[in-house]
Amino acid sequence: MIKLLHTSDWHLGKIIYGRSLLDDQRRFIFDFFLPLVAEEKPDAVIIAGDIYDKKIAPPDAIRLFDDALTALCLDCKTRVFIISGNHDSGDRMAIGGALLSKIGLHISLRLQPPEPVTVEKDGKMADIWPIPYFEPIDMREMLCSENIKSFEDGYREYINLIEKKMDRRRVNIAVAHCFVKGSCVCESESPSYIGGAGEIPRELFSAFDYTALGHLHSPQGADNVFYSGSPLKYSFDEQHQTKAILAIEIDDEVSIRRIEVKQPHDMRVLSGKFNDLLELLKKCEDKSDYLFVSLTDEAPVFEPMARLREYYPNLLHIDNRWINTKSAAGDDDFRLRMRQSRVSDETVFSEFLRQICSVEPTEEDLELFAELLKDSGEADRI
Amino acid sequence: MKPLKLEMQCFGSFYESCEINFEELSRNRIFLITGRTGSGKTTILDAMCCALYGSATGEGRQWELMRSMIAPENKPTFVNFTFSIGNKLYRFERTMQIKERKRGGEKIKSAETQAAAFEFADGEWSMIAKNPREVQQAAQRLLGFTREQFVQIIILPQGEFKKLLLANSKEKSVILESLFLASRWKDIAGAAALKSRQLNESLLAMRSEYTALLGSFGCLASDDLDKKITESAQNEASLLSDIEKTEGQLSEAEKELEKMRSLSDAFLQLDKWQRTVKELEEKQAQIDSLRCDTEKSEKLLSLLPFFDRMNGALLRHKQQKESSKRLAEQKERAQVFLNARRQKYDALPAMRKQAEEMQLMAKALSEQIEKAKRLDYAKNEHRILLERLEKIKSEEISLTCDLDDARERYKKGEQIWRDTLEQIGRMPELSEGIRHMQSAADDLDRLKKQEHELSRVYQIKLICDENAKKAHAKYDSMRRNAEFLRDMFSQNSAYALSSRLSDGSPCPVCGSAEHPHPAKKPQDSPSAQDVKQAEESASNSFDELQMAVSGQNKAASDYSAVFGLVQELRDRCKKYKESSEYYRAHSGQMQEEYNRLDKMQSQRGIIEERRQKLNSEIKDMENRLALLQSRKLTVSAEERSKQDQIALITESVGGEKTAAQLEDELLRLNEEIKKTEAGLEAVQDGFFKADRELTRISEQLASSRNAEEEKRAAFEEASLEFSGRLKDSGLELREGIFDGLPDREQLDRRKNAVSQFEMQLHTARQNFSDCQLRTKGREKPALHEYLQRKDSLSDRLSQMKISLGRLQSELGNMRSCAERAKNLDRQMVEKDRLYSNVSRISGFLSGKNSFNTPIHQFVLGIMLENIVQYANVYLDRFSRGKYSLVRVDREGGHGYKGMELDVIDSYIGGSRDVKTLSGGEIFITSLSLAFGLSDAVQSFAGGIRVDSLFIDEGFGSLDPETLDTAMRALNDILKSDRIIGLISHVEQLRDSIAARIEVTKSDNGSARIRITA
Repeated sequence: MIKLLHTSDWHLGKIIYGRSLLDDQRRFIFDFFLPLVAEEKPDAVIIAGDIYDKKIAPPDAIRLFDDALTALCLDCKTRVFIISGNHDSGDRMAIGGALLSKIGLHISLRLQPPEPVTVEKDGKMADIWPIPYFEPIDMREMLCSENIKSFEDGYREYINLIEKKMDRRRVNIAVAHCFVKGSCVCESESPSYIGGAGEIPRELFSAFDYTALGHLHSPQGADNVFYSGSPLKYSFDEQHQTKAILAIEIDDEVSIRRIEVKQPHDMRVLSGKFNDLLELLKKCEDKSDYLFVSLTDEAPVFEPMARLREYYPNLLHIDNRWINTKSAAGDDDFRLRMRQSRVSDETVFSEFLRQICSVEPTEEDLELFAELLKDSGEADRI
Repeated sequence: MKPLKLEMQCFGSFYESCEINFEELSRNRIFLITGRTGSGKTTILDAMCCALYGSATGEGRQWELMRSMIAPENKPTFVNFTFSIGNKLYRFERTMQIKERKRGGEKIKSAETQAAAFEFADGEWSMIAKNPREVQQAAQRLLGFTREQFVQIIILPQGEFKKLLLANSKEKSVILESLFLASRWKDIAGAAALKSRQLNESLLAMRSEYTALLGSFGCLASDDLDKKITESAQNEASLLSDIEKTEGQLSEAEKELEKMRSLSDAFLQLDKWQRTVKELEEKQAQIDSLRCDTEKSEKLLSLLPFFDRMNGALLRHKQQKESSKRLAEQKERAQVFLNARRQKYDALPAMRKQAEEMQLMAKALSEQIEKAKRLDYAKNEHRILLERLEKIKSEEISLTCDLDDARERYKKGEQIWRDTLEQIGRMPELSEGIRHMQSAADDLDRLKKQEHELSRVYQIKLICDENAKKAHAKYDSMRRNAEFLRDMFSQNSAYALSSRLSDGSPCPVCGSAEHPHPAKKPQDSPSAQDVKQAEESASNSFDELQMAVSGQNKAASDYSAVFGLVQELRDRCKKYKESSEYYRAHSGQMQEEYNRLDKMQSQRGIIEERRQKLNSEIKDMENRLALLQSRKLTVSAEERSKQDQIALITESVGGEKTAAQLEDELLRLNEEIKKTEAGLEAVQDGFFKADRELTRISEQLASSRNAEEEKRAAFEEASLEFSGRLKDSGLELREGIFDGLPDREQLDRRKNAVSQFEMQLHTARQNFSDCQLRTKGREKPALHEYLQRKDSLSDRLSQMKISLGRLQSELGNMRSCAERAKNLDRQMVEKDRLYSNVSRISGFLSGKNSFNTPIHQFVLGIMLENIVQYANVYLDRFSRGKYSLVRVDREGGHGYKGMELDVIDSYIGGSRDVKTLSGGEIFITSLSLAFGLSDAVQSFAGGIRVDSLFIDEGFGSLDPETLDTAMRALNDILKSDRIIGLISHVEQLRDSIAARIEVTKSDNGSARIRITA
């Protein structure tokens, strides 16, 4: 039986609401993940992209990842398969590929003609096909084909190349970083690229026995095409998600087991009136969770962030319903129609007298206004 | 507006022609224009703006300044912008060319701009604007924006689109007024103020007029004036009564005066007529004398016509008698002349006969002339034939010489031809010899060359062997070092793991809960970095080894190949005895000989051709010679025949005179004949003419005598009549009786004078008699007393009338003023009421209300609220709910208020001025406001579509997290149909946005474009 651990979207160096999550990520790697690897003893670990949060990653994040890889490859003596994601800079990470593969670290960062890496155990052979993140132009340049206009076209062509080389007697596993149609998204994910159509159909991966995907942060999947999701929660809309590492066991069949990741800091959203929440937070004993507060007060609250943070330092963001009502323009019918430019000049004049001058317009006033319109050369605007 | 294509040349940093096809990005709703600083990113937006409106996006960058500084003068600047609005396509073009022209004798250069706009309809482009002004108007009309609005809503220029956010109330008002046409509300308020002022002025004028009206009569109120009117009316009535009385008195005085005047006048007339009668009676005698003379003259005047008639008849009779006498004398002379002509007429037949004989002589002479001419013609022909014969003989001689010469040349040519054929036969043998020589030389040279090559590759092989050996040794060393360090590091990792072990907790490696022998810390443990470096070094040296071995194998392979070739060549060259230089020289000589023969062979055709040509020339000459001889025989026969003909004609002509001489004789004879005939005709004409003249004169004489008789009878009649009348008048006829006779006019004047005198005398006597009757028993009156009385009454009456007139005029004035004052009073009341309302409304409209808000500010305020409403949707996304904009009524300076914006910060629970935001926060807030403005304009203006937006820079002020949030928000915003173009050099954007227009510089400094999508 071949066992694999599938994870992705570590986003090392991520900052949310100005708070760096590097410490949490360090704790995840050294307190949870490495021990897990040591315990599960997988034949390979697959990290399906978005290692870093930014293409120019901070040095601390790079050092952290370096330490993690060293521990995985040398300490745990585990083979590791890594592909780049849309947040990673393939060019900046690509170094020593051939040499590293000798110690079991297979990094696929740049688009090249597909070549599998074989994992063998007890006579069972599994070919792992890494597909690094690419943009349609990269595929066009590699295949010299102008017909590739979208991600879907690019993936289709690349998987066709794989299928031509594929040995179907073996277990074939694809590793990719993309957006599969029909999947759920979170606020913390960036689109594959801004402004384009980045979705690809799930059916493209039908030739593989298992597809390890990265890019989306909530664990999800079907038909042996799975997202492991991010190991940590990176936005408040993920508060109810259960983050996991997927363990893939390949024998006669492929079975998937979810291993829940214990969060260094969970995420919570609280909603209510300020005074109630203040009392609540004063009494709260466990202040480790990251907190998002949505105030429902209908009047302004003086310095809510500073006052709440006094009792709960991990308060990251406050949202105030009062802002929306305060800043909203008057919703009276007149203003609404004015916005839609469906009022006549006479109506504007009448409303002006009523609202600003506090008088009710008379017939004589309206006649005078009509005369003034004519004198100023203005036609009535409807 | 959706951009489709942009072309430009010599515009900004785009020196060379450049085209941006936006349709390549059409599937991407957001694209990035990226490049280094100064590469020309903003220039792309400037090009669009210039094509539409003639100026760039930023302040101070006019179209004329956008021409590339280093563009050659003969290369024009142009920008062509193709875009769509809905389903319609448009193209806007603008070109600038440098033209040279003369002004004041100097050459000056100026930039000429042309612009045009086109619309694509029915399959072709049709022009909709043809000059810069029309193009700008077309842009405004199609897009719905002025340039100022365009750079506020569609293109957000670098550093400028935060203007709307940070502007004060006045500046915001100015911006929004132009966008939402709100300035017209100012116009309406202005019209109200003007109307109020006008009403006020009118009211003041009316009051002033009312006061003046009453004041002119010394009244303060209209009641006072009414009293005054009543008094004046009473005075008027009294005065009228006095005037009537005085008029009666005056009338009587005038009558009395008239009577006295008449009496006085009668006395004067009496004196005057008395004097007149006396004067006339003294002239009576003269008048009587005049009367007698007049009567006599009248009688003579009546006789005068008869006298004149009698004298006239006498004169005519005398004249006629004279005429008859002259005619008789003429007749005698004509008779004499006729007799003379008759003699000559009788001699005519003899002259006629002489003329006939002369004509016969002329005919004979003509025949002789004809014969002489034929003889001359024959002699001429004979001469021509002799000349031809001579010519033929000389041609024959010449042709015979040429023929002999040609035959000689042909004979020589035949010999040369035979020699040439013999030599050409040797060419194949020569060719074979040359091939053999060259082959030998080539083989020998190649052998030498390959032997050199063999020596060289051998040296290389030795060097490669040495390198491979060294590489091998190096690799072994590196590998061993790396393995050593790795082992050391492993031991350290084991120590790192073991240091975390605690009793009771399982080992991550073996799983055991007990740890009797934890790994110890090795000394001098290398770091992971060291291991990594060592492994890298080993890998590098392995690569080097592979390269060295590869080189070695190649060198060996090359050496064996070259060695085999050398052996082969040596075997081939054994048979050659001489050197390659010898063979090559010999081959050269043979080649020269071959070339000469080859050239000869190539000329073989020419020689053959010449030979044949010469042969045909000889044949041609022989033919021509035979022809000449035949012609010679023919011409000789013709010459003999002509000689015989000449002899015959000479005999028939006789005499020795030539045709010319004979023709002269004939000419003289013909002239004689003409003279004779002319003489005959003249004689005949003269005789007939004389006869006709005699007949005419005779007839005239007879007629004249008859007229003489008639005139005599008329004279006798007139004489009898005159005598009778003279007798009746009683006058005696004497000499000069009619001398000094006055004419009818004078006579009439005299008669009138007499009758006037008599009438005057009669009238004067009659008038005198009347005056005597009128003045009988009366005395002459004293007129001055009556006159004085009348004048006095008249003066008094005049005074009274003047007074009455003044009084009536004043009264009329007062009445009309009173009427006018009443009207004014009524109008003032009405106008006062109207003014009150207008000024109230005017005050409201101009801001005199409880909120101090003029109406245009009210409208702008609502518009701003609208914009803020839309903007907050975007700001909520960009700031993740932290910020929200709100309009405030804070005083904005210059009397403007209500247009300030604050930002509500959810973290502090209150609002603060937008100017307190950081640079990045200002950027996202400005961006939200710009998007909000765009949405508001689109919804407000109805038909205006905002299909695209361009944002120039600003993203560099955002931290990575905020930038990420902004990009996600933009991506969500793009779910509408809008296209967004960003200009930025931020690396994160470049990595996030796949559709890019990359602006770079080519080697010559020109910007160029690369589109990736």
